[in-house]
Amino acid sequence: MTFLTLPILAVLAGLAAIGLGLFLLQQLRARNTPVAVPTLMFWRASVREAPVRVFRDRFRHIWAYLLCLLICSLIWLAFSDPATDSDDQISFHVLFLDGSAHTSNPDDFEVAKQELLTDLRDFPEHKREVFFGNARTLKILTTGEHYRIAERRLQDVTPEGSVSSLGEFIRLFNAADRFPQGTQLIVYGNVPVDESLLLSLPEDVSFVQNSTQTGGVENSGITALGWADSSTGNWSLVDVSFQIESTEDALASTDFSVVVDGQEIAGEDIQKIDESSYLIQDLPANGAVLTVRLGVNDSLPVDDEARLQLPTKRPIRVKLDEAVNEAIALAIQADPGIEVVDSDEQVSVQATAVANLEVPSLQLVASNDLENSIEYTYQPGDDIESIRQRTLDLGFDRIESSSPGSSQVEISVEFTEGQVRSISFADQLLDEMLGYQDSYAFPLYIASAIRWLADDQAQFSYAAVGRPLIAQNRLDSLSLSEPFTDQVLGANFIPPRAETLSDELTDSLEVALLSPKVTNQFIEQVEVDSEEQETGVVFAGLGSIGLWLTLLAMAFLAFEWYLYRRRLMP
Amino acid sequence: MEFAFSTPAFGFLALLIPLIWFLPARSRDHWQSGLRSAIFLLLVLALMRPVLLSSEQSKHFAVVLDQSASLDAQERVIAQQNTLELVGNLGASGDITVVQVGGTPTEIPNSQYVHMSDDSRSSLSDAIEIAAQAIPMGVQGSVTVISDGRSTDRHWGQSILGLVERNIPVYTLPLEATANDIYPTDLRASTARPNENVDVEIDVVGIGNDLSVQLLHEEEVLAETVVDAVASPTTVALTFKTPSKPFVSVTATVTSNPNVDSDPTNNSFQRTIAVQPAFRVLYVRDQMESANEHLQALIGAGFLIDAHNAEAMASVNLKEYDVVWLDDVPAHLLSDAVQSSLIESVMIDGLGLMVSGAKKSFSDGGYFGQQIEPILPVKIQGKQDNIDPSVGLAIILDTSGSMAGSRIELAKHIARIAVRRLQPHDRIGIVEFYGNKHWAVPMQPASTKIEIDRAIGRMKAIGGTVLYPAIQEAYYGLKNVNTRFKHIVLITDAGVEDSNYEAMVRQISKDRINVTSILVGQGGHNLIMSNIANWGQGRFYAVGNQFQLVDLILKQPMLSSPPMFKEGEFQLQGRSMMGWLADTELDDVPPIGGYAEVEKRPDAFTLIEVENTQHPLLATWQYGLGRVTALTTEPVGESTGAWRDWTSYSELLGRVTAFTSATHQNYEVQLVRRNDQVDLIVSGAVQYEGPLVFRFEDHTADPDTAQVLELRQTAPNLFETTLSISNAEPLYIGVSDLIKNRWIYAVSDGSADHSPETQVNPDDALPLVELAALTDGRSLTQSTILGLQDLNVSPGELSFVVTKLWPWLLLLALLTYLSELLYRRWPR
Repeated sequence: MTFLTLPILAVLAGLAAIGLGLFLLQQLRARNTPVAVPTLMFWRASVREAPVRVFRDRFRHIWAYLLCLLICSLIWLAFSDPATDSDDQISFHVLFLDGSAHTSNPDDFEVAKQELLTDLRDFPEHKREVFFGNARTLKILTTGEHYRIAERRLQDVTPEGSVSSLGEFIRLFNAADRFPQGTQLIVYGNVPVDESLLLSLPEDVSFVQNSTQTGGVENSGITALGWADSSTGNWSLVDVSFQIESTEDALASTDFSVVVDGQEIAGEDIQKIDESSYLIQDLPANGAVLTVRLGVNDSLPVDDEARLQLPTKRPIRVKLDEAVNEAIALAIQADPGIEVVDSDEQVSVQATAVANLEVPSLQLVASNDLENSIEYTYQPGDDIESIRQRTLDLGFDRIESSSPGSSQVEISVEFTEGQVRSISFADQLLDEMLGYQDSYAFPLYIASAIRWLADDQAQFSYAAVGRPLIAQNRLDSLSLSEPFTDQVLGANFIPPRAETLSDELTDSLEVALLSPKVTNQFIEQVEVDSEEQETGVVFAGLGSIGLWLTLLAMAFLAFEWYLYRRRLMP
Repeated sequence: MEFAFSTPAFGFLALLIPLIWFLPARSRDHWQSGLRSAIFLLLVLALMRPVLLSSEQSKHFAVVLDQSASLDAQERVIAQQNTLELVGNLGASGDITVVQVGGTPTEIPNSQYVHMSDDSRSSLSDAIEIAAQAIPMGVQGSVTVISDGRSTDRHWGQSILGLVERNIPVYTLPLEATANDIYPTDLRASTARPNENVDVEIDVVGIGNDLSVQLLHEEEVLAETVVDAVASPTTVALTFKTPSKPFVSVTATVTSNPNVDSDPTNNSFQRTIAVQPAFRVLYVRDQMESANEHLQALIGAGFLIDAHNAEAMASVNLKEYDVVWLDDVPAHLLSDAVQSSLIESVMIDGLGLMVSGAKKSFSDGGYFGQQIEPILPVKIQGKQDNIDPSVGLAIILDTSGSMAGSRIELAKHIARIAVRRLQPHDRIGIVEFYGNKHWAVPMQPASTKIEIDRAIGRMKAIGGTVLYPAIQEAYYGLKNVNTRFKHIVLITDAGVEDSNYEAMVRQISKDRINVTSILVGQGGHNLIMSNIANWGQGRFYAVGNQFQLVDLILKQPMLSSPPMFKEGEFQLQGRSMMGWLADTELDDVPPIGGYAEVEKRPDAFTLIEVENTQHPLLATWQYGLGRVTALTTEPVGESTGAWRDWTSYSELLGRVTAFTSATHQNYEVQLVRRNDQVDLIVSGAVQYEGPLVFRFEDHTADPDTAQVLELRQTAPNLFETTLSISNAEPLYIGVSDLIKNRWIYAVSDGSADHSPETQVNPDDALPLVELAALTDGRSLTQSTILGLQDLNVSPGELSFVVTKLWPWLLLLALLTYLSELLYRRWPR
């Protein structure tokens, strides 16, 4: 037992003071002194000898005293605000309000929020914390803060089209001792929780979910939307596929529209490839935004629209030195993604080494003038490891796997940091004896090298909330410039929510929800250790011992008043 | 400021207060009833829990204290001292949460303390996330990271994005990681197949000399090397032959001088390599006679041979194979449809084709003129046929003064006769010499005979005689002419200067140009002219008058014959091409017992040829997307009997077969592990067709106990799923390529996204300086922490102070009650 208002010694001292005070008061009570007089003539004398009122007398009426003491003690204890220690198995409550797409129905979210705020009153302030989770987890209320603050902090919070951070939040229970032993996690909202995740919770942590869902959910949503290079092989076109899923209680939705830059695509151009998947072929790769929109009015509007950024495929302008090796020239001329120009080039291909480069350059250099087989000049931030690995993957590993003692076939790759990217390629590698220029990998290497020199950017198949970005053209370059990686200091960038992103490398990237888990949401009331589900929540406002003490004090006060008015107690 | 009741419903109790005045009887003492009513009213108000909510600018500072094992004891103490100093300095400005990563718990006064106690990991990603979550929403705050940055994972992306979104600045105090430690940090392997060499790259961190790097599988040393000097970090390459298992666990160990390596406990690194299924070989032979078994034994477990005879080819699905091997199969056994299918598979699907054998294939197997013949890297001759070979002719005509009269006319006659013999596809040129050299008829096709005749007619005998440069000129003229035969015909009266004709003419002869000499005029014989003819492997003629004119036979129609199968002992020589022959010592190639004599095609590459001939024994070329290789002898027959004891033969044949095989896969598999989940991404070359994906129970990849995974199509060529899996649990995946009817294996080792605590690659560490810059924080030093009184914090307007009024109401109620007691007991 602890007291939140006063230290325990002060509480005890107060009780003692109350007891003493009441003891003194008890002695103030007027008391009758029976005096037997034989005649009224002695009345005056008897009054003189035994006055009816005295200021102090001996202590009497122990029951009355105890009743007053009880009343005062109850009020004093209520003032001291007692709270139980962690003798119970549940000693701490963590309340988590889901604000992700799962609970994005405005009514559901509001109900979940109010449930949390209502329950919150019943938990002692020093034994609970409140978190809100959408793409991120935010602490709403820390230990000791009044629940009214939670109301203010949650006042303007709304759900968003994101996956829930609850999974990560649960995982962190194992990573650190953030909460005391015997914590109960109570989740408000409709986010489904994997059973495996719950089983990973520490043994002393129990879990309860208060879902707002009742019965089946009627919902349809777009769960996939992505592009790939056209199956016809046309470099400047792409194919787009998308998927529309519906819950069991909802009819499969076929009422949708597909719009590219304001132009709706005719239904006959959309092929149905299975029950829920559709395909649109040969759309121009011009960077347009494609929007799929459902014409339904269901319980989750957040998944009824998805946007996809189509790639922009512009040929790379390459200037070829007239004396450049024929094999290289042929490889470049055969590449549909490269345009050979005479000026305004992005990349130049030189037959000899050139100093003081102004544009990125691929140079064929006499082996005697080059210390290594291939020498890369990279810019700060380039992924050297990716370049090295991709170089080897593009056929050079086969050369390398040859006799290590032979200088003819040993490949060495060197990297130097510089301002302008360049590749110096030893002419020895084009020796007929090596046969590399006749190999399948050679034109791929040249294509990849040109794209790296031109700083080709990753073009993502799709961008979905909570999913890693997958570059459709990841094998087209030695190393792609990936937007958003600077924002996460080299870690994998994972879009947090459905929105339009942009950074220095890309004008815009449309992120869509595309979550089957959200669309097909189905909440089972998950409990871990059902005995612990009794959270102590009886009804709002009565979670505090102080309240009960006050009510008890009021009851005794009424009782005491009754006794007093009935003259049953002094 | 806002006044509010937490439980206003209790206010209804106030309605009962008037009862005090009437129950149990009407009160006449108004003072006492009033006091009692006040007590109840105060208690009811207290029950309603009134509070006063007012804004304030509170701050919350979160500190990440790194005490992980990657720091030495001294750095850990420094980190603790700085944390205590920081907490002490900031304590007056706001609340503080300290998140300690690893180590023994630290006593940090006046703060909330969170301990991440797993010493095997120091996830700064988690620590920063916990620190960020410690700062309540709308409260001003900052995060300070005191660490070496060596996070055991790189999952900090979401946390950093969150900090940036909330404008929470991050302050960093970089610490030094343990120095003088040498350890491996990563291991990568190239595509592995059974019994094939796989290249492994091992990243090693540390600075040292004479490092021994070993690669082990079940305590067996697969490969090892010694690295002279390591400048951290470096990559060590090793090669080993893959065992025939779908998943092979390998461990890289680094051994160094104990004086240099401060921690010898972190010198190994384990990874599992997915070994892709063996190449599927369709072996076709007319009479099998266990040849397939011999071949299987020869090329080893890296190849799975299906043997068929040629007739069965029609019913075979070629897409299931990486290479088709036609071994001594007569062409007539391959139907047009089969040949057409083979060509299409090679060109479009990238199928590999090996053609080997001798008599029944290249020799008289009837491949000439068949559909399949043009895709072979060697030319196969057909049945006997008349052919008119082309000839290049350079006539050197002496027009010196000594030729005047009948001699020049005789010479012109001879030249005209020679020209008439030529066909339009032949080439002719006439050099006259008369003290100088001059192309009277430049080298040209023999189709313009009238002009050539006129040019001959214009020649006149004048000037001196200088033969040598004229022969030289004719030689250069012929050298670059592309004809089957080449001749120089010298017509002169032999009145020529002395010179070293022999050396020059022999050189001309070496280039397969014959030199014939014709002496015109009386005299009958001339030693120089006959010698020139002799050296030039031509003929010598003497033409005294017009009745002795010679008709030069420069060529004869030829009967071509099919390639001959040559038997005997033939020495071989090899040529290297992109590692095809690898370690094979070409000098040690044993002689062959027989081969089909064919020519290589111009664009093909000869890997092995018969010595001193240009007859290819092993040649290859790219044809469309596929590769075709020809071996002009039997791989497992009498002709290669001597090779049975050649230790490199098995390896050579295996490598050649592997290099010829189609290597592309229809699906590419990526496994991306993020803590307790793994994203499985399958990208398909074959669009719109989802693969069948299985999760194996263990590394044995038993398909009977495998669990089928359901993948979603996220783009036309992408199929994905996310698996919830314990981080420590390995994941073994098999993608069933229905087109090729085989597995594609992939593996994600347990904790693959987490480095062991003391084996973090410094290059993968969290860049603390950049983190501070990105979040508008600052990189601190120990000296700046000493005097630090406050830190810039994020903006926040949701900090509040709640004043609870109800305790005071209760106290007031208590005092009122006591007053009432006093009132009613006060003596009156």
